[in-house]
Amino acid sequence: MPRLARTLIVGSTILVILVPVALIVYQSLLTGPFYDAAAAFSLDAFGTVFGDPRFWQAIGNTLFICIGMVVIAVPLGSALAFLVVRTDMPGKAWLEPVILSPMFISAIVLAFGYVVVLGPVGFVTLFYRTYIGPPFWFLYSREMILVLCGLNHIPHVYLYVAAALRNLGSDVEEAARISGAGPIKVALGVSLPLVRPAVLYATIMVFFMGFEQFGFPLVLGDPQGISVITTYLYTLAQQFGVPKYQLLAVVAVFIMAATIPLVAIQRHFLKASERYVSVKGKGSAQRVIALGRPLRWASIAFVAIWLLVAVVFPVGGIVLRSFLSAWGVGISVIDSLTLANFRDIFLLPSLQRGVINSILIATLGAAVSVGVFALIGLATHRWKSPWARALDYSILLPRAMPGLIIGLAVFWVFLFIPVLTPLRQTLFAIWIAYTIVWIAYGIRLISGALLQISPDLEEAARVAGASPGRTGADITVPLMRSGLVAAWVLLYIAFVREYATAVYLFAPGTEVLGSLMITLSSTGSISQIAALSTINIVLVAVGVFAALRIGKIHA
Amino acid sequence: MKRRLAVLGACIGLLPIQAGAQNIPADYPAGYSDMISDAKSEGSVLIYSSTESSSVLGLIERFKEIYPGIAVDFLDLNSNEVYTRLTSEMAAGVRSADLIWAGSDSVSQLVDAGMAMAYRTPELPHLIDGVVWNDMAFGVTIEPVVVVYNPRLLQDDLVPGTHGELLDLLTSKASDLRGMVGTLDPRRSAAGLAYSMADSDEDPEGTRKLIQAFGGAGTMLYSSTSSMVEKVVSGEHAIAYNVAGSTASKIAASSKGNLATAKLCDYTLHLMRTMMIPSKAEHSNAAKLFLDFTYSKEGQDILAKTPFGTVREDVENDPALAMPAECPEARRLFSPGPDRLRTFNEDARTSYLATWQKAFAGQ
Repeated sequence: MPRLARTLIVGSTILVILVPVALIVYQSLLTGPFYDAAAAFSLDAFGTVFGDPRFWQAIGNTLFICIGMVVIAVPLGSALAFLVVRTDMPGKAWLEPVILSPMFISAIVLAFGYVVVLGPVGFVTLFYRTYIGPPFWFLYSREMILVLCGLNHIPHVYLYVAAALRNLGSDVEEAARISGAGPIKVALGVSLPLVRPAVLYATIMVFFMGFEQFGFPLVLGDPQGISVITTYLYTLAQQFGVPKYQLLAVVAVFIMAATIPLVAIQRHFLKASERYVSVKGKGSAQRVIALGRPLRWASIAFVAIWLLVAVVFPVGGIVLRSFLSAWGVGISVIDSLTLANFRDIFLLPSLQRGVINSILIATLGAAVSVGVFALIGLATHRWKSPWARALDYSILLPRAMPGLIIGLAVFWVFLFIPVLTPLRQTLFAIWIAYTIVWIAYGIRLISGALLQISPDLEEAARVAGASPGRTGADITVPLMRSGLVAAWVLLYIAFVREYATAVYLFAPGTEVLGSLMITLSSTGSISQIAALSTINIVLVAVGVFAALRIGKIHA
Repeated sequence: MKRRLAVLGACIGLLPIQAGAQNIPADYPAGYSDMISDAKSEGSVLIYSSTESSSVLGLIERFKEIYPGIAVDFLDLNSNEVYTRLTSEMAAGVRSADLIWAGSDSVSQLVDAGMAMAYRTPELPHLIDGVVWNDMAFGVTIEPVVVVYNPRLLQDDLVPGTHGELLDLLTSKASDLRGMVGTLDPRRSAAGLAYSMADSDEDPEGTRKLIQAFGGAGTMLYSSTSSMVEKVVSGEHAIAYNVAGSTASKIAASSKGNLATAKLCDYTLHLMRTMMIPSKAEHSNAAKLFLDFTYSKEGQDILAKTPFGTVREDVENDPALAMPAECPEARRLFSPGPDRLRTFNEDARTSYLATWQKAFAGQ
């Protein structure tokens, strides 16, 4: 790609990201809304937030959850990816969509599901109490929130690591096997170290995701008053009756500032990423590793228990809840079975439109986003320039901001920049916001796939006389196809379950499911939310199965 | 022939006005039909509402039947989103809501900030007192703030009938009720703060004791009503205090007998869902039409069948929303007006929360 094109693409991306971010930073330094002429420069908002003991409590809880999530999700997710991609574990074919399923549903919904199943009077809790003994868990505790967040993020690690493992030639593993290494030794000594960039990306991503955990702490931490940074922010927005934007902005700025050192660490790890080149010109079919009987059973048991806790319990809970008028002590499940929750939902035109819009934005919108990310990925691919480094840092900023805040910032950008105002009430505004929020994921996934393609192949094409553009189109892009499909699946899922980001952006006719769920959750009953969640689960499940089929056909 | 055509033409010309005029009550002002035709040329009314559309679908549908050609664009939002959208959009000078439908607190705040348009509704003579403030804030429904409980867990004779009885229940059964009681957290919920401050205004000493008793019974503090009420239905909690009556009665209807409500007879707070026409509303005629229809006999009859109570003197309330016969004087209205601005006052908030926190900790 020519230098000018690279600079243009990277420069405009940075601009699009930095405008809303800069607006939030500016807002944090004022005494009132930025558009209010009476607002003056001041550090008062920082004083207010940093002087609040509940803020520091929330920070402590957040770090506790971030670290816990990394400790749980990274090893288990990597192990799972190795098992599925590189071994003969039984049931692999149907396992992949099931493995991804915790990502299908927003955490707030899963959390409601857990209340139905594992809460003090939940179905599993009552069963356990009757037949086994007093339960060893208390759902509304910090530890339980940590464990559930960790188990919930195994698929995120899985996706990154599995995508990298798929692009890895199996010759090195075979060499290890021939030299007498067992499957565990191959995994720990050969395969996983070879995909270290993917594992490290995933680690840092999961740590970031710890910062943005909202659903689990909101639902499970609420009755005990356990708050994390996002729920602190949420109640900060609620408690004054009118939102104090400068305080919200301070919390967002704090979170962004905390992430900069993390990015520096990540860059340090990845400096010599060329070392990890493993898709080479020499073709070799991937061969799977035989696990042997005991390991096969152990791996099946591990996957089954995880799926039970992370998927079957909460999804079963929320789906069951959506078909019940009520549940609990003294209520027979059979008696309260009903379709009324769904009927109520489909009487509302806004909800019908919400379903259609969510499908549109998650399929078409996500596809266009992948195209945008691929372009950016190619523009920075093996480009040692300050521009590339600047981009690397900037893309993480919007992700670090809570969805509610970046949504608010994008809303303001569309409101106060006259050229954009006509687009404000279209799905385009929501698509832009989603694309900005998810840019880090998309680009990481794509550049992870790009890094694994050996420069020899590109150089060969160039030597044979192909232009840089032609090399990209004929060599690089086809080789990263599995990375692109994975990115599309990831974004499809992300866009369908996205909620806070569009809360300020949707207009009559551009409602999206997730945002409607948020507004319902503040006033409506859980019955409606449960029905919406079930619709959401079905939508995503259909889409993911389709995507996986497409992925298979092309592979 | 020519003359006949001219007569026919005149009749056709008159037709729309005639059709509209049929619906206009006799006591409406003379220019009302002009307002209707202006509203029809506006073509739509954009409503930002924290009153969920699913509860008022009947009202919207009937409005569209009576005024074909005026679309109702209804955005379900929470009260913070209503505020943020309206104030930001007004500051940017772009299209925003024609009608706001939110709590009396939020609307009073917006009126106080000078964002409302004044309008004298012709339905005013039919409304109860304390519903309209300065022709700018219009309370359109009334609902009690209630105690909800699970009848399987709380025997009839223990159900409190006054704040004093609630206090007795919490102190005498503190250990049985540990973890079984819920209420809104005034530190994290604006509604929770408004209720608690109103309680304290009504009876400062009694409220302080009640908060101490909540603390002593290990009460769970929530930031949202829906999950709190769900937990009473499921039996995780036996009782929850200060729940909006519309939410409670909607959930009670499908709770298989696991949720009942109680109104306290010494006094019971009553919420008002309140409308406002923003000063820069582009379709203000359509908004006025929608407001007047909401206040009309027909509109209030429709609303009285939803979980909301009426503000008209000539419409019968759902018995679930009416106060018990033995305490007709116990109703305390959250009327829109200067009183509703206090929860937004930083000093009043901070000092009340300090008192609350001490009381909850047992001091």
